[in-house]
Amino acid sequence: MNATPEVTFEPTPGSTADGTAGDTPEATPASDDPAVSDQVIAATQAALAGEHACVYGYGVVGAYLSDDAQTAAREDLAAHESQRDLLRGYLSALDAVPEAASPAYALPFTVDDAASARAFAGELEDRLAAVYLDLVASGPGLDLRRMAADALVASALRRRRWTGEVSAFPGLDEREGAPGG
Amino acid sequence: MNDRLTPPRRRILAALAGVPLLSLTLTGCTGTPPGKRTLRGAGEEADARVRWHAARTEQNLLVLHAATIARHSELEDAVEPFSSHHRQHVDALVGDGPLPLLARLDVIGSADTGGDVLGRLERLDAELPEVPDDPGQALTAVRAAELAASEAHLTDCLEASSPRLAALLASVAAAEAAHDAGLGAR
Repeated sequence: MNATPEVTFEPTPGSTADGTAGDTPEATPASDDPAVSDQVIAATQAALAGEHACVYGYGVVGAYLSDDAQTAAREDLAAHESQRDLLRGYLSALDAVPEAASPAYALPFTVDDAASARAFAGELEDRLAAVYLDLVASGPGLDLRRMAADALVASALRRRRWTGEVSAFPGLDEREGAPGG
Repeated sequence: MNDRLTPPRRRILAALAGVPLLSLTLTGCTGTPPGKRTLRGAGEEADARVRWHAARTEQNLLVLHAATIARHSELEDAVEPFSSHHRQHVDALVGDGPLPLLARLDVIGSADTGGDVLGRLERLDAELPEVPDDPGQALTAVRAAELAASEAHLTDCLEASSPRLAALLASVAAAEAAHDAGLGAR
């Protein structure tokens, strides 16, 4: 896989909208402070970028798996697509333009067999957990916080299924200063 | 079980320090007349209660784990790695900020003090939770407790006014949902 850019979960400045979701959830932050809105939008865009990367990444993962594992990868891909669309809906509700996916992503390591595909799925979920943790902390809007916390739980469950490992602090362990970060 | 993620408390706290914080609507209490609770004071007091509730939830899990392992030693390999997580959760919660006035954590094991939960319970003359005679049912009970704790932490997460505490609680909730799944896969 020689595509660029790297699988990164940072927002992609300057990108354009690539569609909006049918859902229009209540995502308005409880504060009128524009700095709060900016931070909520930035964290939501980062989560969307993470879901874009996962949608791309699980396509790669599934290509190296077969049978039940491939079915599981398809199910996880569908879950990430659904979550991507949900985040687009939140951003639209916040009057923000959802950022687009990159055409392709560079992988953090070579994925060329089932074992490396599983490890890559675990890596995707590790990175995704960290951006959802930021979203939990991004503002006082409880609907958004609950959605992000639920997504963090779902990510930890997928990670366990792909790697057999359970982190003591999903989303935090991946940070600089913490083990594995 | 890979237990490479056994962080000293300071490392988790350092990681939490990287979580974006918003304290935009909370004000300091300088010059506040005695007896008048500030918004910040009210938020901190509420967070202390949330922290305390979460720490007690972790304490109860540690006690259940210890009682389960004491009754069914064959479950130790499955349960103990997650006991280690709970000790880390206790440390992170207690290290996150103040607990309510007069709150004490008598029984809690921690990553620093080790896991002699049963010894501490005995000294306190406290009762152990009942553990089913059947090891399969005992494991099912631990799984149910992990899942209930996860859901309780998610509820606490929504009540936390501190973004950092909310993030910590969401992370702990995620770990415990994965504990349930991990124990179910055995």
